[in-house]
Amino acid sequence: MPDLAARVLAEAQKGLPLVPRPFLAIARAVGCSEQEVIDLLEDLRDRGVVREVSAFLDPKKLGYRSTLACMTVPSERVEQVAAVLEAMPQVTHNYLRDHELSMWFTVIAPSEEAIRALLDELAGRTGCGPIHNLPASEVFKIRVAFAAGEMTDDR
Amino acid sequence: MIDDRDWDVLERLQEGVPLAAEPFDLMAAEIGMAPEEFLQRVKRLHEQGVIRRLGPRVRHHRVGIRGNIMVAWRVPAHRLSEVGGLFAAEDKVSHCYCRPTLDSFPYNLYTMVHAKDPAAAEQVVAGLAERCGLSQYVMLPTLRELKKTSPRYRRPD
Repeated sequence: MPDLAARVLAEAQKGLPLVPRPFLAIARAVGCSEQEVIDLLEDLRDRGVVREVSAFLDPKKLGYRSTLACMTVPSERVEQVAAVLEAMPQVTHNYLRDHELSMWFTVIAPSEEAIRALLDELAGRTGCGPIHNLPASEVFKIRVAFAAGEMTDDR
Repeated sequence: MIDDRDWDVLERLQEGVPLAAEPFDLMAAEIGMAPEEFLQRVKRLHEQGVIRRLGPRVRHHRVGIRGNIMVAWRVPAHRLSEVGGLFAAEDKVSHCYCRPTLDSFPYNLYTMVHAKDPAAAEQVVAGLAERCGLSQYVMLPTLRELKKTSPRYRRPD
């Protein structure tokens, strides 16, 4: 990625300034024009580097609960189980990991009861129970921003 | 604390911020709100912590990170705050949470570690383990990203 695009992306990832012209503020921070910032972000979005420019919200403050869950899925059943999770909007992320506990996914729902009900339903539909429910009890860090070229995403 | 008009703002923001010179004015017009009020609500929701930030959601595997590892650590309860603080201060750690243990999986602190490739990520993990004097941990490298969507939050019924 060209240097300017990386710097614009890194600056934007710190959070858009909450001012009437946020892209102008970013332009000043990195030393280019407002239009360049807008064009670069558009290009990154068109190329799929950026999925969208959007809001990162705190689920708890909105009355939502979230959790990380995991289960052991035999390798020959990964596609099938992944498809079940794919179809559920409450499941926001799903990763296959190199461990006996192989499938790790995040769930959001309006209450802890709703999460438990969803995990029970998933265990029944996939036959891959038990599904372990690992809600965070304390948060030390949720990413803010990485240096250019080393970026990740929220979850 | 979050009123109906706040939800109008939050639902509009979740559809994506327009890439235009005055994005807040555009979004305000779409939901029939004065531009100043829209931005005021965004600022207040940000101060309240409802909005963590506005910004790009990046597909990280497309900007050169293949070294993503989730690490689950076994940390003595009395050291959790200290170790959590140390991990949080590390640039290459993006997330750090306490989670419950399982009989078969007795780890209580979880981190996501990112580096340019798997070997570099493992080095970061080894460095953290040494600095914190932790020997019990398990690395869970990402084999495949099966799903990644942005959560959508709706106003309560």
